Amino acid sequence: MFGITMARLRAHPRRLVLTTVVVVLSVGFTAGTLILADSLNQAASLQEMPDAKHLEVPLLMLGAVALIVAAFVIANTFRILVAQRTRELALLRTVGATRRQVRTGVLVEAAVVGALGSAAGLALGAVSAAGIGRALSADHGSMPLVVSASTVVASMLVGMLVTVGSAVAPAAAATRVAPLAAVRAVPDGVDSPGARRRQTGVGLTLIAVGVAGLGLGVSVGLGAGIVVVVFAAAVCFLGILLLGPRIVPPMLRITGALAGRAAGRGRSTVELATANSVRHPRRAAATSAALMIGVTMVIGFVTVAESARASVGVVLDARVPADFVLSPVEPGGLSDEAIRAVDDLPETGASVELYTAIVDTGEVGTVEVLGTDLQRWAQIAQLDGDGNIADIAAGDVAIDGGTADEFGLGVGDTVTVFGQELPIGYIVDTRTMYHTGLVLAPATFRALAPEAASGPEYFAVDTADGVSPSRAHAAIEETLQAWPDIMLRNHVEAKERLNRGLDQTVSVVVAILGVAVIIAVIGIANTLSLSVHERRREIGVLRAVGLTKAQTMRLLGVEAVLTALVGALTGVTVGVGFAYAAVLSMERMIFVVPWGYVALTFVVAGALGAVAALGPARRAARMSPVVALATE
Amino acid sequence: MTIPTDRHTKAASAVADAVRAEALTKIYGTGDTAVRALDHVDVSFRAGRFTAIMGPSGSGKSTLMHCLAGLDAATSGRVVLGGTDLSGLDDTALTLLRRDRVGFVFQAFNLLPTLDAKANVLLPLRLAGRQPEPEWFDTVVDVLGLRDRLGHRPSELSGGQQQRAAIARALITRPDVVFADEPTGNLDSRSGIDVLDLLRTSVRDLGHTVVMVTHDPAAAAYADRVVLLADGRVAGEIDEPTVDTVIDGLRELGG
Repeated sequence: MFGITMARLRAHPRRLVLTTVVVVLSVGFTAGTLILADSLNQAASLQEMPDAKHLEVPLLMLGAVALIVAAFVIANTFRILVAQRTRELALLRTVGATRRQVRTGVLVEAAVVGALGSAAGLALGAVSAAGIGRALSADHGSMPLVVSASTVVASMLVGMLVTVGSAVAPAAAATRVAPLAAVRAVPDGVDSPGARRRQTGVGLTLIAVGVAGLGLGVSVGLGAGIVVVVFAAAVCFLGILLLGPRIVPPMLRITGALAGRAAGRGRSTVELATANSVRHPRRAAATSAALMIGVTMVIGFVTVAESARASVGVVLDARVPADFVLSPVEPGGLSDEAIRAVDDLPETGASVELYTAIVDTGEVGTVEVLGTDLQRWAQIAQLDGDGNIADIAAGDVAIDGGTADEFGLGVGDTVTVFGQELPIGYIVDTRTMYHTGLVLAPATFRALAPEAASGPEYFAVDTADGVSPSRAHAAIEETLQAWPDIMLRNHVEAKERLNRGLDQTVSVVVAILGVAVIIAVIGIANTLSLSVHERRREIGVLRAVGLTKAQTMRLLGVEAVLTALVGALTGVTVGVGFAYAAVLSMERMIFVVPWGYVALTFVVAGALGAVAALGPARRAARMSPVVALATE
Repeated sequence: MTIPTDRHTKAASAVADAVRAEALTKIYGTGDTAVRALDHVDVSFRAGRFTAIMGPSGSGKSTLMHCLAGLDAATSGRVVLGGTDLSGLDDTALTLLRRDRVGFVFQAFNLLPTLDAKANVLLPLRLAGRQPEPEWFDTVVDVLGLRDRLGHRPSELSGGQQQRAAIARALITRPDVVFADEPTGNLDSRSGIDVLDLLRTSVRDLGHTVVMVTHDPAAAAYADRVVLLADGRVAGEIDEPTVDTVIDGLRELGG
């Protein structure tokens, strides 16, 4: 059997080239990470280079994503190959090959691909690690390249396991080819109705359990919540993957119909491409799922990151979204002179004093009470709420919407603060308030609260119009030299720092997950290439009855782009959904859909799909109709 | 312009000939392994006639058909189809010519499995972005008896039904020539007779031109004329053939 396998590999080298590339990339990533981590460790112990060991775990996790995507592509390849070889396998069975020999044949083929791919991947990983190491060395002194035996063994083992493991199911399918079933090619991906029902049942159950888990994670909230959300998302994802053959074909049909409407005269090729793309439901599902995994990760991560950016005020300081905040170093109040001095600077603009106290009210329990000029505070903090903020009377109190709802209070109801019943004059939108509780006018606060005696606890001030934040910062700092007991916080700079950090993290993670996306795109090229081979007679017929070369290219291009777009669409939907749960589980975070990234994802997916189609489409267009018709 | 008389006669013969080959030569391979599949073949097929091309295996009959239909390029010589010289055309022009002016019927039916019968019939028009003429579509569908099969996929049709859909696909564009390559080869004898009847009907009643490659004398007997091919050359012709005259003709080729 081994001899036959090798002969077949030699006879059709092209069929497994793309699959091998997939193994090379995914193993290369893993090996590169391991080598880089070892090398940095070595460098750390030799030259006190900053230890980057803490990067190893997240990188390996991302590497695992690449490996999972690779497993999808490899499994799909072998499934297609087995389907295409039904006749050949049946012939082998007829002349006396046992089931076991047929299975071994497929697994040996996978093992050869796995071994070659892993070895090449190891080399790629070493070269990449060396390159990265050299780039790092420029800043931090030289770094030795450490390729340990354990790295070699682990990389080869992972590559072999993923490849051979992915071929197990297709190999089992190969054994089910009956010797006499050779006459007609059985379409790939037609499961028995029972298996289909079971798959749908398990898929739906997993999704239900996952969604329930997401809900649980959200209700658990800050801390453990996010862990629950991640696990629930993984369960949910498995369910979606299982349902793929049921979900993906209708999505392809809808997307294809929309594209057909937009295509005008090119409609016929779009229609043909759509019909082709849904022909093998399991194949279509697996091909687009590979892309979906990467896109889900990218979009999920970016959505959380962008939500964090939008919630930057919350993350930094829940209460003070002004550019600069003054507060006393020791507990107490700010002196009036200092406040005047800063407020009078030409570089500073809108400002507001803030008093705070924790008060036990009768009506809404113990809450935080803010003493501040609500109108000026609203301007700085961009508060929003029901009613006109200018209408609020001097003695009135404002309350956040969440607390008001919780206790069933509305405008006109009263709350008892510092032993005084005060009417509610305004309800602030909880999302813009950043904190829950009550807001009083400063005069009321000073009159009632004992804490107010030593002055306001915070002084928030914005930069004047037309002045750069750094100049304002310098001016305030200079002024405050007279008051060394006052602390100045620069929120502009802190936000910028946070934004820079987010930008960096996002670009690094997206770049790394890009490997997974590229592997998925190679998977699309692979599926298409194999199906061009399988459909050469049909392509010949189409060419004979009038499909031009350009139309042939378009036909296959549309097929690949449709698959990519559907993969991207499911990935975006699932990714945003998971991110929503993650954001909800982290309290006080604002959820933002990163529309720019979403649009970019579709553009990139479509473009990569078109690129993936290029090779197979050119091959199809070059086929002579006569040759295509002659193949039996 | 310098020899208008010559041009005139050529134009006149083009009207009568749906397709013709002039000194058509096709050589596969080069050097010692070169195979001369067609050797200076001169043959013409009149419009509105049903012609069968016959000959032993390797006589070049399929190659001749591929070259006449613009599927394959000849090594030398030329093919004129409906007044158009194919030798100067590039791939796109040839494809458009096949789409608009040639119909094909294959041995293996070759319907697209993803399309139903109606979409298969309309395929050449759809590729051209054209709408079918409703009356012609109805005529073709009714003549071929496909009315109640239009919504079925090829896998749901019998061999005979598939081949009838394929003939409808060939006729829908009102082509200059319909080429049929062993159209009965994959059919049982009754369906085969059906198909041959329909091809003859499309010539006699609908005015089409059919060129059919076959090795079956009974099939060839349905044609108005048989062209015999041997070793890449025209070896004879039989007008108004019967099964017996065709068998005799083939026997002479063998002897």
